[in-house]
Amino acid sequence: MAVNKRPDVVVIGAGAGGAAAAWRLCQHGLDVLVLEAGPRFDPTRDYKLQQTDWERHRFPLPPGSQGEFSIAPLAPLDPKNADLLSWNSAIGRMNRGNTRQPMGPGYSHVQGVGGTTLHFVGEAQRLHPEAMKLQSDFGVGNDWPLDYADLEPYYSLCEEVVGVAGPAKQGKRWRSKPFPLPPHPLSPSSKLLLETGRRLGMAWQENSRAVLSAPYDGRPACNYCGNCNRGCPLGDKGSVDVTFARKAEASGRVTIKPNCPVVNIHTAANGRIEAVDYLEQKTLTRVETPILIIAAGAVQTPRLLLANSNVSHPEGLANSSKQVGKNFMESLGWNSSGFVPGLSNSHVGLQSDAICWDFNAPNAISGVVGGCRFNSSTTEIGFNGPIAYASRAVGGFGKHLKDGVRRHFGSIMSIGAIGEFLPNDGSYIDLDPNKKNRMGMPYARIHSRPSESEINRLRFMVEQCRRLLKEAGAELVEEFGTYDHFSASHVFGTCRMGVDSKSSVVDVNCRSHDHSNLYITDASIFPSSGGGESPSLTIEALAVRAADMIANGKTLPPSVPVTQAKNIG
Amino acid sequence: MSKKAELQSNERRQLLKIVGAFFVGNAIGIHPAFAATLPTDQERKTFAAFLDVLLPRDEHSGSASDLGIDVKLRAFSETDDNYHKLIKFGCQWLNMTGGPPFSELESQQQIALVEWMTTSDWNQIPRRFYTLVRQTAIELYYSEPATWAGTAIDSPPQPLGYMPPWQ
Repeated sequence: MAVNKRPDVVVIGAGAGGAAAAWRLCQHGLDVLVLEAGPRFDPTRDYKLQQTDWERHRFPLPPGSQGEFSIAPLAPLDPKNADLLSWNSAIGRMNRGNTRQPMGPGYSHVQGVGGTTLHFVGEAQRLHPEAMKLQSDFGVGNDWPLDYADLEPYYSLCEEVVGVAGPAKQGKRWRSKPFPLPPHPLSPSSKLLLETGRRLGMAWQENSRAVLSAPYDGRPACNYCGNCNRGCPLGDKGSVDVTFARKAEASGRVTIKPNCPVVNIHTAANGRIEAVDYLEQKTLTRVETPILIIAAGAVQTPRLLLANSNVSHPEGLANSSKQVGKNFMESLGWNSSGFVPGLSNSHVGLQSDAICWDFNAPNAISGVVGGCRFNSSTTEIGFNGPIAYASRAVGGFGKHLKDGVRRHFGSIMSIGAIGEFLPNDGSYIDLDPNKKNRMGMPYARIHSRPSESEINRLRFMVEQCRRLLKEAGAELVEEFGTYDHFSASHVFGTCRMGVDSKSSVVDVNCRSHDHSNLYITDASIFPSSGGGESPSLTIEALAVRAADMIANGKTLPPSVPVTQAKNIG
Repeated sequence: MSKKAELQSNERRQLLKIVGAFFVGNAIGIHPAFAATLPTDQERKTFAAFLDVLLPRDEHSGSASDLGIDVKLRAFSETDDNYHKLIKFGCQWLNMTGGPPFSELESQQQIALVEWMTTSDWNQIPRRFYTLVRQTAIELYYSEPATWAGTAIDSPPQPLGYMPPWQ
């Protein structure tokens, strides 16, 4: 086995949490090794938006770009929830079975340098401050062990690194600095949406976006092709590969190794993480870990910890609380789309350029705790090319089909909604006893059971989307949601942070309660999902904050640590 | 050059995703006893005629077969056993009207037959054949810029994008 020279910090995962932490550690003068299981993408080669068949290509998924996971049998569908079923004009019901089914892979993510930010739409949203105290204020879910005020400076810092464009007005999300860039112009579909919302008393506005509205930091401005989530070939979208990872590599202090999955994590007798083994071109290499940061996401991070159980840690690493893998929270989502008379060119403009936060606070929806948000989603869900119109929105065949595509093209308005998902006992990650990879590591297995509160919140989201489209005079053509499909991209909670080592995995500084040199900086540490906010900016802020704590040796009042040690080993 | 090589690998991958999702998502398979054999001339004609009913020639653009979609889908079918069998089943069914082969029926007769397929039993071959062939044909047909005439797009999204102001 080869043995690498010892870096100051080893990071597992080059997505939002791993790359942001690595960048900050480099700024502090530390040498960092980032081990990324997936490949490094080449936007000019891998993204297909210049090809005539561009619409057939979703985000590319070459070998190694997906984590290994399975999905346990999903919940049966209840006839009383028939109003929440997915359908479209071309094929009717999308799920013709009696149980919830995965849509595509079910868990939509990217493993690679940049992680899931490579295919994210690029919303850059701060959490609603009140969404961080669900247990104290509402008696459900879990509290964050820190406040919005603790994160605010890090939000601002990350927005500068990314180049976030947004409007000044942010409601409860108070800001110490303005956004680095002004908001983007609204697309034709979103302009109409704002007018429609105003008639219904809803306050829609420009969304805050990790996409450049003007040239910034050596990157070009967006040219509004409307295909952010197929991979941005220009580099105006602030995915991690062109922001944190690029800046970290420019420092000369980081080595990012793609296609290097970590196989083993070794602990010392004192509980510290001693080393990791990773595969590089079929060679198993061991590297010492003075500090180890795991940022592999809310599915793969618990897998790594559980799969590396040993005699001293029979429940898995960092798992004396038995909370690793528990509290899995997914995306609760819905989209309604319709032909709107008089609307044209809805295929152009920035994805998710408009947002409504009216129901985002935890107590904003009557009868259920936990908020949601609404956004423009026409291009985000792919209604920007003729294939989508012909295969999803215009039914039938022949002259009717071809005429319909021409007549309706550019007239679809889609409204999306994403909502809070409270943790429950039926939603968790464990190791699949029946599936292992070639190194013998079990797959992560996803268990998902939306509870009644999620169904009720989803129904509210559905009703609002339909209400808006009705007000716009739309003819509904497609509705898709997560009642009858498991389709998650935002996932959280499986290594939650907290003050009590008996009920949480990491402390307020993202440090494991059990292993003094182990940190976790991905969305697995979120104690709650928020009311539909996209998580990348919060992941980055938490990661940069954790890096500061590591580098400065500065820790906030500890929780109940199992072992005590200096931060830098 | 083999049929497999004729179909660009990217194109094939995309079609495989659709076909795979269709068969897996709908928990169906074609009976293994149904042997895949090379298509007959009649089946080729039937398949092309069926595609042209789905996507006919009009004043803006050519039909599916004008753009070679039938040839591309047949080439793809030779790389995917389930799709191949479904096409054979479907074409055989189309020719079982008791009259002339489907390709020789009057246009209105062809349309009436396909119309029936669209509302037939989801669990039977005619509906599955219609649904999957429609989906895969649309994917290839509307990838051709010649079919975009009459819509608001005339080029891929990049490199020019869609710069504001917008109407």
